Amino acid sequence: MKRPLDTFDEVTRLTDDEILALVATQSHRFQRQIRLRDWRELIAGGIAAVMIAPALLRGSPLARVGALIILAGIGLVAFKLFAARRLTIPGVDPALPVANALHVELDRVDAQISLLSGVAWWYVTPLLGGSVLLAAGTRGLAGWPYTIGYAVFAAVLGWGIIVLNHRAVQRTLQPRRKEILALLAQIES
Amino acid sequence: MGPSLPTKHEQKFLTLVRENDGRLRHICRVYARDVEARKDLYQDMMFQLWRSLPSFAGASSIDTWVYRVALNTALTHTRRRSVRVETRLEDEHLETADLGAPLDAADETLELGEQSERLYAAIDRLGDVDRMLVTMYLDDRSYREMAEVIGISESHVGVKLHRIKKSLARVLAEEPV
Repeated sequence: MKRPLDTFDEVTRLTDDEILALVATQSHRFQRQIRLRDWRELIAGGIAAVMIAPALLRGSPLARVGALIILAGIGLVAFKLFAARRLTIPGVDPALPVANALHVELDRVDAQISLLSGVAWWYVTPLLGGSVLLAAGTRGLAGWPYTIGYAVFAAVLGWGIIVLNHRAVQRTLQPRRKEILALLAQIES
Repeated sequence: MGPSLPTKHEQKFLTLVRENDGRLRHICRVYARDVEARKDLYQDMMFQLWRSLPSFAGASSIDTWVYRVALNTALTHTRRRSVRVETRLEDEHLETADLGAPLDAADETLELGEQSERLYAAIDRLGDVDRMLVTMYLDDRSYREMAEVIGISESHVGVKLHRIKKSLARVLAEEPV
């Protein structure tokens, strides 16, 4: 169908070199984003492990239990994020038939919803719970006001993390899920 | 040092983009509202084609494959950026191809432009999936190809297109605002 040129046609008319430069830039950005996220998490986990290692080796029994729970928690978080990443990166294969791609994306969104909805047990409880035990074991009975203060802080922080994740589910993931279901209904109607 | 020659993969990709340029632009036009959103979508499509090209195994025709990649990208892009506002009419100005042409030719071009705009406005009122079918229908794709792109049966494509044509005819029969 012949139609007049519009502004879009003008601004996107690119030379071969410009097209190759564009996809190269986008590929680079995509790879860098993945690398940065991996490194950031690896470094954060490493620092946390190094910080609690002395307590694990030389701390009181309670501090050792706390440190062990945190270490196990770091392992669990790493496993959950790795499993989730397998679903989210590199994303849905865009060469799938549209209906199949939507089903795959729906599975992905459901997995993300399940991950964020369960953040209390796989993230908050082991990491913050372990850190409270570690604090109590390190300070001993004499430091109970500090331990109670820290426990309250940890509870508020944990509650904040849970609320933020639930909000992300409600505001972002549930609407996306609804849209995908609507598209699948359009396809099947 | 001068620019290096494109590799085999780059050559293949550039040929693919050149051969399907009109198709990609048409999809951008149907799925994104303004020039900026279209530009973003166009670039997103090129990136997805670039990323996916090495995994193209020839199980479907290259046209079917391009349509799948482009339409899946358009759907994801639309959801991600909410580039489209339902039933709002296009407000950008058209730039005609040849402003120095004789008046009759200019009128003809404008009339063609108006008809084209009315058709796009009507297509814009359809759902995302129906717009996919119209896009491919206007590109003379067969029912089989449409079915392969969307992942439904050929008879289902036929039923849907029949419904879409009736719906478009009704909208186009309305007086233009």
